[in-house]
Amino acid sequence: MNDPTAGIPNPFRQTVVADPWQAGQDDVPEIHDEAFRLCCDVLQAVRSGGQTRSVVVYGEAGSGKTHLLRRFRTYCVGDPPHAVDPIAPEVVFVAAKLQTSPQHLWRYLRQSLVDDLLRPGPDGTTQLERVLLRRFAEVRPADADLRLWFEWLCEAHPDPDDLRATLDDLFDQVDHTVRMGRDVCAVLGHLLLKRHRRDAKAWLRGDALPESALAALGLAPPADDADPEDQARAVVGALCRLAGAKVPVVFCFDQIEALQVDRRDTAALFAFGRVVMELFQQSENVLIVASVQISFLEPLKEAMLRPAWERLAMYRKAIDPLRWSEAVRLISARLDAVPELKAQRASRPGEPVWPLDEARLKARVGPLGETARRILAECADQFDAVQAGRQATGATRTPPRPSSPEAFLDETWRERLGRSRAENTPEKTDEVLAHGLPLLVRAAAPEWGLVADHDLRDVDLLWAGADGRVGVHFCNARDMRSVWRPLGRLPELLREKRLEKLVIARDARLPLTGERVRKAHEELRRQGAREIRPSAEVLAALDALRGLLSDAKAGDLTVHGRPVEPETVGAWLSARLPDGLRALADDLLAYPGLGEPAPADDLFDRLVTALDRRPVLPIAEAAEEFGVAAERLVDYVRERPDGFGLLEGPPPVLFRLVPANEAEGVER
Amino acid sequence: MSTHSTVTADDELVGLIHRALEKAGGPLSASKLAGQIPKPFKRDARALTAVLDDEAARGRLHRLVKGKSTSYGQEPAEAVARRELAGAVSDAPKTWSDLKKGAGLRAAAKWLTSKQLDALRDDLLREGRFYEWPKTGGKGAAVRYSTRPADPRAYLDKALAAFRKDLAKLAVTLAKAGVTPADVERAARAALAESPGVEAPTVPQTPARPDVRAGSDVAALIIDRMVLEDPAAATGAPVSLRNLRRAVAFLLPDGTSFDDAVVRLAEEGTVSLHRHDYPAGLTDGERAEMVSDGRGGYYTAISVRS
Repeated sequence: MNDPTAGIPNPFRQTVVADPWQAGQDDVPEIHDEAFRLCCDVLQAVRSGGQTRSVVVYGEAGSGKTHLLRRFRTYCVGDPPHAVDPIAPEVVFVAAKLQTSPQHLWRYLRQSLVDDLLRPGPDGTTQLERVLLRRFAEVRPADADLRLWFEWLCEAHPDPDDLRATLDDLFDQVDHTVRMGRDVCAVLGHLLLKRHRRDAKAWLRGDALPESALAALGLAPPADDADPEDQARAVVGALCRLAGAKVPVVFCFDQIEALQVDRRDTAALFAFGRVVMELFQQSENVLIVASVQISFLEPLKEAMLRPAWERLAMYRKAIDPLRWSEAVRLISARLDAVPELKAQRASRPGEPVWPLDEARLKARVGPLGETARRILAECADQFDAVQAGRQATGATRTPPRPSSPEAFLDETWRERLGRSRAENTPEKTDEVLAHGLPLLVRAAAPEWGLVADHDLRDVDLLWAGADGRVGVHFCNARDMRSVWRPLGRLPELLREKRLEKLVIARDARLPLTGERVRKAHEELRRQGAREIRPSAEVLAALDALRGLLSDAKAGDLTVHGRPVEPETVGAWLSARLPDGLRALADDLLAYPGLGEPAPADDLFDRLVTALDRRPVLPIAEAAEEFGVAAERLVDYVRERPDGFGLLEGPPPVLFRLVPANEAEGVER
Repeated sequence: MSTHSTVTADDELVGLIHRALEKAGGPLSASKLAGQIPKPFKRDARALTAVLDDEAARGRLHRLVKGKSTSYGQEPAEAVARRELAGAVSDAPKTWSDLKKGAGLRAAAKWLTSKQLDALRDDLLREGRFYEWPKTGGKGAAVRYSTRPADPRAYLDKALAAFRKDLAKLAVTLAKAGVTPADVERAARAALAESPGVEAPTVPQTPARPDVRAGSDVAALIIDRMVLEDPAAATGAPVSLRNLRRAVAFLLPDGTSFDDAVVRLAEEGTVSLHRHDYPAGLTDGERAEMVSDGRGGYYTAISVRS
């Protein structure tokens, strides 16, 4: 008998929608239509009512929450190219998986907003360009497609200075009503004219830039005492105001659970509630759509202040499990998306899920319904079985054996680590440390509890344990002005014994340079501060760890449609924690030499700087350059295998380490 | 100072006020609240009163006034008193005076007149949240309140005593006719067992207990309770099954009947049940408050289906 599915890829393998921006053709509009309509209605209410509003969508893992957000994204910003028409409805859409730390929420929101504002659409325009052009049309009347108007404007002002002056004038008029501030206007101008795009985007995201880049953008260095969270909140507020009363800004918050270190961590949810309250306070055109696991129904409400909850959950809706009639629609849509199958299925009108086993699927859905993901997982197994020719009789039907969670985690870890290596840049380091270190400590040393002390300025994370408190300061700015000021303030905390251990964390790829920084660094060491310099590889592993745990908490890590519990992932991580991460946790929390001055050591930064210039450096040359014995230098490098590469020789040669993926790219 | 930081400080203060009220579990005066606000946000009672009045004007707090005292709470006084009263009534019957002596109800009742409080009690009785036990006529003669129906034994003593007296008289008379007191006793018991029983009263006792075990009534009851738990439940907002189970426990005290009822509603398509994603991470106690699917899964929430 011919296999009707021969050569056809399994259309049910894709069971997870990773984020609302993911493209997809498998939508069945009738499913969860009521929740979708609620989002649309509340969006319209924001537009017409001039008031920020919110919707919480609840559902089991795999029920289709992110799928619903994707449908809503398509509704908001559309897939096909469309004109920038000042009289047509416009929406800014932002999707944020809350894989961050509670202390960095505003910064994360800023990054998510900017990333999505600058995400190129199918027609090449960004949401930011669309919003800016609409704003310009308000102060310099224009209609029809504003992209054509802007092209005309550029052609009419061939002299770049003339064009800049014209735009400055437009920005001045817009800023008069929107109050964005000079720096934001300057950066938006660069982005619109596609100048200094990398640095302009980095600034708008909140990344620290070297002084030379700030000067090129025409920006002043940030104020010394500026709180980065306050700065981020101000930029988010300015960009929301820029969108205007008639252009709602939709923030879709996914994986709120990822904010927590563990299930008992209510402080993280409390902090999220505060951010929601502040967002309501400073905006009139925002729609918050939060997708929340049903298991989180009570914990989330209980962890927040009542006013925060009332703002976050103005409208609430559950995503129902699919009943059989809906399941049939979903399965048919997937099958009919494959033209060869659609053609064969046309001749079998009485068999809605052919070539799958209807009775078995019906039993799987049951009288109470089932989540879309579990139904699709069952379909995937059946489809595989059909292709393997094993579906002859009920007796011989055996679904493919599910792989064990451990095997699945081994495979997923390799895949995630590869992805993190590819995406790992020093600009992400603060975010990775802020979110990842608490999760790492939870897995490696759960006796240490994460605590908050707002009086400890410049301390980004703080743990309390039986032996006292350990604070970490993140020191990952490229601009040395931003580095030395906090380094200059931190010794006071040690002198006043306000914490028992202070650790300075700086990405190993970022050398510390400059006399002021060196002196501040030395003083900190004299006071007993310790330093950790995680390599790119360790940071990639930390990034993979936080991604894995966040997905598990949100129910997005599944084996055959069933979520892998965070506890399973935690146990797996504890048993298989990479050496680099274990060493990082040890360095962070270990106590040897507590309170004693650490020996002066600027060799690390000098080596990083030298290897930045020359990726391969003979030890003899380096020893001469730094005035140290070659043997001592070799020992120093051997003690830091994550920081530097060493070819033993002879002659021994030092080289710059790059993450494995990058190295593979170079080889290719 | 920038506008943002002013806004934040006020926001923080409002947040702290709400947190303090949540912790207190009931209304507090401005001066008591002032004592609970930590240092950086500290205000004297007068300054705090302005913030509290503003919150009340926005509808985010309730201003409770009786005589010269003013307090602020997150709920209206009636709602607090209603909750406290419902919580104070238990299996063990208590008089109205005893119930009002409970700390929670006493504090909540401060903002209500006796008449308002009596009306609240009668509302709860009408809703079937608890039962009124009529006076017995003997010791403990006062009306009492309990979550279980009155125990008839307590009311039989007087009737039985009169019956025994009459029976004794009858035994004396019949002794002359050769009947022993034991024969009289035996005949009386047999006659009682054969009698048609207590006639149903033409006017139902208060409260009229709904026949909650009839399917349609149970469905209506469960949906009503869901909407009481969260008014948005009527349009599809989920309700925790643990909370719902507790809310209907006075009418469906048997856990199995609650589980059967919600599963039946789900099978009919009236509601949806939602599984907990990580039941293994829960305690036995937490799982017991959910509804088992019989296959190792547990339903944690319920919502009205569209």
